[in-house]
Parts: sequence; C-alpha cells; structure tokens
Amino acid sequence: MAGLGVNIGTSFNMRARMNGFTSLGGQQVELWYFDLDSSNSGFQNNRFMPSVHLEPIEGELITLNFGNFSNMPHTIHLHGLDVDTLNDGVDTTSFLIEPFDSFAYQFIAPHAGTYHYHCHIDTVMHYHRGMAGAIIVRPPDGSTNTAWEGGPTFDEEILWQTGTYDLSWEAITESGPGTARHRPSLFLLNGRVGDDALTDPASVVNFGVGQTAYLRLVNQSYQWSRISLGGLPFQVVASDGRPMRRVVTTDNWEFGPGERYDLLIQSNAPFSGLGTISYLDDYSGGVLGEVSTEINIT
Amino acid sequence: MKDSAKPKSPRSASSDSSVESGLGRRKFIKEVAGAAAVVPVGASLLAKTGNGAPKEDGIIPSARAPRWRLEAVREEQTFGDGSVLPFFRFRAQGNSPSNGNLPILRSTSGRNVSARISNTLSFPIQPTIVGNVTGPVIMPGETRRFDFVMPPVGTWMMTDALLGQVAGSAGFAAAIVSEGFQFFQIGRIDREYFLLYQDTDSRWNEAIDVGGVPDESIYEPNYHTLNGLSYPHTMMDPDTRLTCQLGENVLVRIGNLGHVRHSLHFHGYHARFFKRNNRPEVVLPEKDTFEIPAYSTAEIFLPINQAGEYPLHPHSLTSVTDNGTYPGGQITMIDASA
Repeated sequence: MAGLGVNIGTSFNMRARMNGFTSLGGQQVELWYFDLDSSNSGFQNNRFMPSVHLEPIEGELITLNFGNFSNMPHTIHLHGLDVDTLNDGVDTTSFLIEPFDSFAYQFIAPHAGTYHYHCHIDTVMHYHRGMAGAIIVRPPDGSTNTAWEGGPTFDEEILWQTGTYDLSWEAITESGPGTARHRPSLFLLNGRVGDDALTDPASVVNFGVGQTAYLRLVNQSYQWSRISLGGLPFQVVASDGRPMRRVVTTDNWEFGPGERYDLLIQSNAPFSGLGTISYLDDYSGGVLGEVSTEINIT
Repeated sequence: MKDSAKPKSPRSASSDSSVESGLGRRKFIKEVAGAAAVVPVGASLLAKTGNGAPKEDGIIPSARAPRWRLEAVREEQTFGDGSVLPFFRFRAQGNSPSNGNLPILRSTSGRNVSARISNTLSFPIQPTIVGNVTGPVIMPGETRRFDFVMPPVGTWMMTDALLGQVAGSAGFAAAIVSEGFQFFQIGRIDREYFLLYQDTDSRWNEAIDVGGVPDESIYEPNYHTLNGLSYPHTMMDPDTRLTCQLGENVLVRIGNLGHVRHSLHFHGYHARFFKRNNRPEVVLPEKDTFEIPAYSTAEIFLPINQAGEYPLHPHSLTSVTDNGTYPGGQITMIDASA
C-alpha cells in the first residue's frame, strides 16, 4: 500500500519544525514541515516534503495535539474538512500557535475521502517551504481497501501529492515582493524530482492484472496539474472527499491547487508505462515541466 | 477538469447602433420551453442580493427598461502593501448599482436594455459582453449608448473589446445578471453575491498608462482584485464580504476576467456548482475547491450549515498577496451568524 495505512487513528501528536533539508535537483533546500512526534520526518517517514500524512476515521472525534517546535508562529488549516472556526487554523478568525506553544485541534472526521492540510500563516511562503500534507479519512470501520462506506474497493492504494518549487525563493523566509511571482524550477511528485521520482516506492504504481488500484491526487503545487497514465484509461470516482455525481472515464485529468481527485485504475492485460504529472502555465496553457513515475501491471 | 477555451479576442462586433443577442430570442425561448423542469426565479427564491438590499428588477418586467450610466475612467488604486497601480475601469454613475468597484447590470433575460457609457480615457473603448454581444466603439471624450438584449438567464461579464485579452487585466469589468426562467434544481435561495476576479501584471497597466503597448508575450500577474478591491478592502465592502445566517442558501455568482485559472477554496463548507458558463454542472460532487477558468463564469450553491467566519480565497497562493505580500489580493470572508 505504498506506505499508507500506517497512520490510522483518532489522536495524532503533530509538530511543526523548521529544520528540514533535502537536495532537490542538485541544490540543497531548507524545508519547514509537520511530522508526528514518533516519526521525526514528513511523508513516508523518509522525507521532509510533503509533510506527514494522517488517516483519521470517519465519524470519530479526532484530536491533533499540535506542538510548535520552531521559532515562527504556525497553524494547521484542515482544508476541506469543514471544521468550525476555532479549529480552522486561520489566525485572523481564531488564533496562531506561537513558537514552543501548543494547541489541541479537534474535529469530527467527515465523509471518507482525500483531504489536505497546511499552515495558514504567511501561506504563500510556509506552503512553499513544505508545511502541507494529505489527510485520508478512512471509512467508519477503518478499512484500508474501501474508498468509503458502500464505495469502491481496491487492492492497491497510492497517494500522489503534486508540488512545484521556485529555487529563487530559497533565500526568502517572509512573503514580500520576492514572492510576487512563482516561477517553478523544480517539478515534484511526493517531494521527489527527476529520476528519484521515477522509482520512488511511495509513488510507483504496481498491481496485478485484474486487480484495482486506487490513486489519490492532492494538488499541493502553485500550478494546475494534468495527470496521465501512459495512455491507460482510469475512472474519476471522487473529488474533495465526495463521490462524483457521475463517474468519468478518461486517460487524462486536470486539477488545480488545493483540489483532490480519486481515481480507479484497472487493466485486464499487463501494462508497463509512465504516469506523468504535467504542470501547466495559466496564461499560455503550455507545460512548464513534468515529473514521471513507473506504472507496472503484471 | 478541462479548461475552457480562453477567448483571445472578442467573439463578435456589431455596428455602432445595433442591438444583438448571442442567443436569439426565438432560440432562447425554444431552449427554455424544452426544459424538463422550469420554474420562475421569483421573489420567494431570490429574496436578497449582496448585502440584503432588495433587487432593482424582478421577474415581472417594469414599464421602464433599465438604463445604466457608466464612465470609463483611469484611477489609481492603493493596495494593502502600500503600492499604487493605475487601473482602467467602468465606473457606475448616478443611481447605477455597483459592488465594490464593480458595476452590476441586472435585469430580465430578453429585455431591451441600455448602458450609456462616457469615455474619459485617452484611448477608444468598445464594451463587450463576453461570449455574447459587442457594442459601439466609443472614442475619447465621447458618450454613446450600448443597447443590447439581456442575454440568456445566468451570469455574464462585460469588458472592453479593443484591448482584447489585456482588457480584464487592465481593470475593465462589469457584472451582468440576467434573470428569468431556467432549470432550477437547487431549491430556495435566500441571498446572492457576485464575486468577480481579476489579476493584473503591473507591467501591462504601466505600459497602457504611458500610452504604450503591453508585451503580451509574457504575463505574470502580481496584483489580484475581487470586485475591483483587494484584501483587506474586500472585508469592508458589504457586497464582497458574504454575510449570511445559519440555514440560509446562498447563490454565489463568480466571474473571472483575469488570466489565472483559479481553484477557489471555501473554508468551512462544501458547496456545489450549479452552473458553469451558464450550463448546468451535473458531474462534479459537492466540493470545497472550485475550478474557475479565465474568462468564465460559474454559479455556486452554498448551503450555510454552520455558523462562523470562514475565508473564501483562490488556492493559487500568489493570488492572495499584493505584489507578493500576504495577506492581500483576493481574500474575502463568509460571515455566517447563528
């Protein structure tokens, strides 16, 4: 299950940290991130960007015990979970969490599906630095092979978090004229670029002929993204944590910053190809850059 | 989702005195008559607009057709970060209504209406309703009437045809709400708002301001307005800040006259596309983040199922800044009282 199904629960001890680093495209970059106090890193417990993913259970009261272990204020905005104002993570309508302070966010997990969270302080900068992650709300029985109660079942589950990085912002820690324009120089999938993304175990899609894979998409970039699976058709079955009113079968799909879509992939024959995220320019509609990973149906 | 084609130039141009409709009256009536479920959008369905003021015009035509007065003006706008930028806008005059800096032309579909437009700018303009009809060229210092038939029921936008794809970014915008009979499957509407998004590359506006020609080969917007305002001014405008009550249903009309392909995020609520470009949306579920392509309109049905204060903003995050400084740009608030 590509590292999913491991963070299921109703209580999470989360931390904000600003001491991450990684090499992206050959350049060392400084990352800010959310982790679990048991993990000491972000997504998949082996990278600082994206931040750690969470898997709360539908209908349960969920508690995020959040500690700010950094020298800047932060919040957690629970994007799409429709929480109350107090727990919405917006400093102007509730409050911010000062350095080395803590707060317990609480909410009832809504309909099973794919959601998102991120810091809502100086968002244009904190989001860019990596303070964003995915939330997968599991069905009430905690199942990891059912999309939602009464929804489709699957044999393999993969989470793709898109991302773009502007290296010219690297020296900036606060928004201002330097963050007016986001000109992405790196094109990420689950925080990996180039060859690292191609074979990243968190991203590659491996399943058997006749089986079903469930691919969750979260657009955590500053650009629109287009997904294609090497010509393989797929079904778009959910968006923003709700089942589609009509399932769409296609071989490519575009989704915008903050949007989530869930895809079902099946094949009755072996297939080997590349799944590709193309990042699009708003003005020209052209492709700014791409990132790919392997798909193997055996 | 697929991006809709973004018009690079006005769809049609009419002669100076013509009155034309993109969808002819006969075709429109036929389309409406063929609808499976047609109910009137009347006073019980659309009780309030904007900050709750009664609508100017209803489903029953009044004896006198609306006549709006607009002026095309240059004005300097100061943003939250203190920067100042020139804009070129339609400005409502006299009793003609507006939201923020956005004139609102509201009437009944199919009705003959007229906008009297004075051009105080140093260059000619030509009003155009995106995807519908284009009016007369108005030279500097001239005042002319733009006579047109209210387009099919829905949400429309007016801008300038002569500047083409530069016009929306330069500032030219008016909202058009065309009322009447339509498919209606979303139930009671208690109030409605019109939110019009525009983005601007300051280099384009500065070029226009000195009589130059913007370099259209590159566009990287650094200012972002909502109803011609930017945060925190959006919060102070009663027609741009959504004020409502628990249990109400709100119709949010959206227009995008910029070039940013927006994904618009509602905090606190899942809502539903009712229409996109005045066509019913039947595929997507209730969502919290909505695609609003450039030069498109949408109608979003927002049920207020919890009280509180919730931001509403694009998730293209440079759009919530003023020249990069956060918070700014196109942030507004949903203010729902219990």
